[in-house]
Amino acid sequence: MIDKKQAECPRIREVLQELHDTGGAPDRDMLDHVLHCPDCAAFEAFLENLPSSLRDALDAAASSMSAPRYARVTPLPRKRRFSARQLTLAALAAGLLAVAIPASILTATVLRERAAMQETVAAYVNDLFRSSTTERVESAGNTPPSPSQALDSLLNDLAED
Amino acid sequence: MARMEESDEALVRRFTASADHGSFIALMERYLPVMRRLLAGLFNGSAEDVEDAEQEVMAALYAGLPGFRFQSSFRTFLYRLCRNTAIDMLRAKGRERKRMEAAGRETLVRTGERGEAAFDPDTRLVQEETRKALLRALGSLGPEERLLVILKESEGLAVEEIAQIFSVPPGTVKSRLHRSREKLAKFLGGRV
Repeated sequence: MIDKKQAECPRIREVLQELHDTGGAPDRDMLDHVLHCPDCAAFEAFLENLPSSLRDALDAAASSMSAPRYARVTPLPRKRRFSARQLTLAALAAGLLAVAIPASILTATVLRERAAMQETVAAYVNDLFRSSTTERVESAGNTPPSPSQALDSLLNDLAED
Repeated sequence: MARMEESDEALVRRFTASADHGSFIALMERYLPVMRRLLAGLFNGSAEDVEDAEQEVMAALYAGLPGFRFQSSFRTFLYRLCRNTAIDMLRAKGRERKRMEAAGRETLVRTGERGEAAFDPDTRLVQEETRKALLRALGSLGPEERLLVILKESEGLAVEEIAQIFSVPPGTVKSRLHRSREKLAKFLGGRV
């Protein structure tokens, strides 16, 4: 009789666990078995006490711990987010640059061309002035006139022509 | 008027949207006791290991939270993270085997002494001994078994939620849980 009851123990404990998980109540046969079987009674008591005992043991183990060190958690690189205002300003700046860069290139080119033209005209005038002065000096046999005299003379010559 | 407590989801969303440290700390404060219980169980109550693991979990959570897609509850996500981090740490450190052997030896010795302890007049001492014995018994289980028992017994999670955390069917959780409890009971020898 006792042997038969002991053979039932694994099944009884399995059912006790199932009932422990689902919150159900044991039937009369089970109760009878547990009442007459010290091992199964101890197992039932163990199941009943386990939640509170375990929580108590774990709480006690964790209670000696120091405060959490949040500052040591590595922060992620923060995602950069732009506001609408920043985006508008950036677009305006890009537009301004798009106009300013070709305009400055154009201005530089025009200025360079004008400088080259001025240089050519100046060289031409210089040549003209030098040749007419030499001619006058040679024909008069005098000392060469001052540049202002030479220019006046040149202008008179041109006016007469 | 009492301020309404923000939901986990609201805190997670605020943190992921603006890397708001306050939301992260609020979430951590909410789950810190649970997290510490889990880690204390997994690391056999070693405060040093638990603190290291806690740091690892927080760092992993801080980095992983932006990838959280709300396909499970935040709680499940956190438990899964604790499990993965702690098990990785236990494996990496290679302490597990030694601890299990030591816990097994010590528990057997203690089990033999339990008759004496039962007559101890100091209830606090008995209680303390019971706690220690329970932690040792827990330490004799494998990390997965330990976590199963803690989640079910200490945290009161449903089998279905544990199944989600472990990514296994509920039936598997039940059978593993039954085996783990049998082992615990055997180690404790009716002490709890």
